[in-house]
Amino acid sequence: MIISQTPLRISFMGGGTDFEDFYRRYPGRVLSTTIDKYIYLCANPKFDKTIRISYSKTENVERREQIEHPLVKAALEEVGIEKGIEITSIADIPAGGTGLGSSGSFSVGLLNTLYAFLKKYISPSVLAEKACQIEINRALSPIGRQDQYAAAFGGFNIITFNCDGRVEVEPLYLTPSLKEDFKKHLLLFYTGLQRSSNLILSKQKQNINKNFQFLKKMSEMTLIFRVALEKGNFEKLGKLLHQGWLIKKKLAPGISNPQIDKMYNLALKAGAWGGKILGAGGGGFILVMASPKNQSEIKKKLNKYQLAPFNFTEAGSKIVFKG
Amino acid sequence: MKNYIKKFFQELEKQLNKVSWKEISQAIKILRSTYEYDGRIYLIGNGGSAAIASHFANDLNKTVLGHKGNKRVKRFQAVSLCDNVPLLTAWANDVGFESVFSEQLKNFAQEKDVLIAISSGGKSPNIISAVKTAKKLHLPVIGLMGFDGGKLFSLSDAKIYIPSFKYTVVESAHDIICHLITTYFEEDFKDE
Repeated sequence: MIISQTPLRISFMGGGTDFEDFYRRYPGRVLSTTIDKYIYLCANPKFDKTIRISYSKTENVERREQIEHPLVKAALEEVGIEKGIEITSIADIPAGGTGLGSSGSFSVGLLNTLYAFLKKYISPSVLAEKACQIEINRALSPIGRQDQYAAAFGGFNIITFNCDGRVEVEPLYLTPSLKEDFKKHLLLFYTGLQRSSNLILSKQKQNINKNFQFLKKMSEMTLIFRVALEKGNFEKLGKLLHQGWLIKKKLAPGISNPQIDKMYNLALKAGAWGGKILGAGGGGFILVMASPKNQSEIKKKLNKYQLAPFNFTEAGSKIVFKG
Repeated sequence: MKNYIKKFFQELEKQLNKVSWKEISQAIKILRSTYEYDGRIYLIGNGGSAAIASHFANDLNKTVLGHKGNKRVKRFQAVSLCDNVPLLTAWANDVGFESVFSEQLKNFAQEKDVLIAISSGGKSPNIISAVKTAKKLHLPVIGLMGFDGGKLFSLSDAKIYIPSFKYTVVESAHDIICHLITTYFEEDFKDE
């Protein structure tokens, strides 16, 4: 039996610049951190040589080709397992449309588990790369590559997507007090809306040429965000988030919607500096940045929506049990 | 005498300033990751470095908790492999001194754990053997070394390297860096 634990992530800046159609022309940059919300994947040999996969539904099949879950099927193909395995996934936050990078974390955690199941070990960078391959090339998801790297490496990172396809992960080493202060300026609300990110992302992918200047600006803003974060200039960070959100909304229809706009405007009116919808948009979690003194007012205005407490973490995907 | 004393302090300061802050930060990140997944921290060293290993294990287990630490539930799990004299001498006597740490590691090590290897020369056979065992078991390795770094330098995932050839300077600097990391986690754990 193998169990892996893989974190979800919050992305602050640069989402969309991790699409190949963009970074082949101009370096993409994303600043994100992992948080203490996890996906657990468990694998065990199956005595009767069939396949059982348990997630929001359960699949019992004879052969790999019959598997419906595209990522599980792609991952089993990637590592070369044909049958005789049971795979279970459990998550702290219901997967699908949260904006916390759950499909990337799922792919990374699944591959980590399957390699451990085969008694192999792969490094975080290879793990991230292979996770991108199964999602983008095998399962044909219209996604970028930031989530897989965030989940495999863990912690605060600037992830750079170079024009030649090389990905660099530079950790941001922040002091405990700076991280604590930063966290005190952030609120994470659940919109209650679940959405299919693939619809929005395919549209966003088609629009890359049209949006090239905006994306270039986002890539540059990631560097500005980094400097402000290292200096602890929280008001500036909030305003950068706001600026980023205004650009992001333009990238594709459906990233925002009347409910998200309403929530965001309520937060701003109650004193927030800025914020953004996490991930592809259209639903999931909304991140709000505000001075701690305005937060009770913001919470009051948004009391219809569930608040999600979180902590920053440093660890990437890990095998936590081998038995 | 005054100058003699000053000279030692200056030499230590000079060497500390040469240490890469990124490597220390990386060591902190590895330790924090290990803590998050309830992994264990194994420490090894010979002679003075054995004393540093055991001292640092104490600091990780207790000092980081601060004054009201006894209330804290989740803690580091640091084990100095230098402290179990019966087991250490058993391996030394029956198999050889080279095996004293690597064989102890095989009893405990899991992938979510970490090894901290302290060796001024960076080439003691028992240290290198344990580091290779750790690598085989996919544990990250934090290396504290001096002199020319030795083999330990290339085998470490976080390389805390003091480029001096004096044991006294290297070991003093190692102790200071261990206390720096202790201070970091004392602050880190305060708010949790």
